Amino acid sequence: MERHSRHLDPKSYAYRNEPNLYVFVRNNAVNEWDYLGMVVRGWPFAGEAENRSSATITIQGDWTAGGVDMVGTHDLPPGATMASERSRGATAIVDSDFLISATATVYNSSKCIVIARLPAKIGVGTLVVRDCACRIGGKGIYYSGGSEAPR
Amino acid sequence: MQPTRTAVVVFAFALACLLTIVACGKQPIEKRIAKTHGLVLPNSARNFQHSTSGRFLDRGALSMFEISAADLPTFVSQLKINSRTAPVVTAGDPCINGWNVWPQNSRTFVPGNAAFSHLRKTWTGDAKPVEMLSCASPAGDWLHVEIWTVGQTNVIKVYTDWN
Repeated sequence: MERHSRHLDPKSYAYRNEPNLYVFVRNNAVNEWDYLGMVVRGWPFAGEAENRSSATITIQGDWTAGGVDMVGTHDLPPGATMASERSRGATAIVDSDFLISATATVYNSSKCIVIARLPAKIGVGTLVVRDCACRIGGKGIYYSGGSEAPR
Repeated sequence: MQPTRTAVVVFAFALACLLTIVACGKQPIEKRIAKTHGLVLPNSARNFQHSTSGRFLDRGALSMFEISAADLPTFVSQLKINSRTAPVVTAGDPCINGWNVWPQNSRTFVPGNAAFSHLRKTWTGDAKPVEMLSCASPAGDWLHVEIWTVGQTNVIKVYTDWN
């Protein structure tokens, strides 16, 4: 590695307590990559979930914990992002299939025009949940991204 | 001569593709529903509604139709049921998706996405929810079946999900 002037080691958090150096791409360095050291990406099934809202949301789908693929539900507390999740050695959601529940009203857009009915299918892609302020009082959250996010 | 022959072959291939597309498009909706969900529909099935959303391996298909109450046992007998869930209320609207009348955090559900909001009432009178069945899907990853009753008719709502 030194011969090519490239440092190919994965991020330190990725193999903490982990003998497998390629756990950061879920042991699949051919099909997945992590070029920013933030999110495991793979085409076409991987995505990420970020909760930048003031609500706790529950997501159902495929996720990874300690390099092991799992399926189930996962709570993303307010402000939780993939980076912070992973820095705690916790969970990386790679395909958030459904938004199951939220502790705030969910709207279809940032303008809070239509209330989104849960559960909602999200599909492949990046899911980002953010706060929104309604035109006529109140506030809630909306989500964007993913192949199935409502428009 | 060779370019002409090539052109004929290309034209014939294009025509065959077009005919295939047209033929598939003309497939009756009940056959499309049966094939999509991997189910056999009884002869009494009528008033079909169907929509799909998503692509490739991450998609969903929702169908709703009516059957005679006498055909319900036969229809249910083909399902590989994992769990049965009773409604939390005694009346509701089958056209509404999401948790609707079923307990929140049920094992299966119909997503509340706008792509599936096409459902319309095809019966007269009030529909009462009977049971929700979470099943193994013969065509996708999981199958969700809702049974509603309107007099001597059952309204069946079926959703198959691929993930």
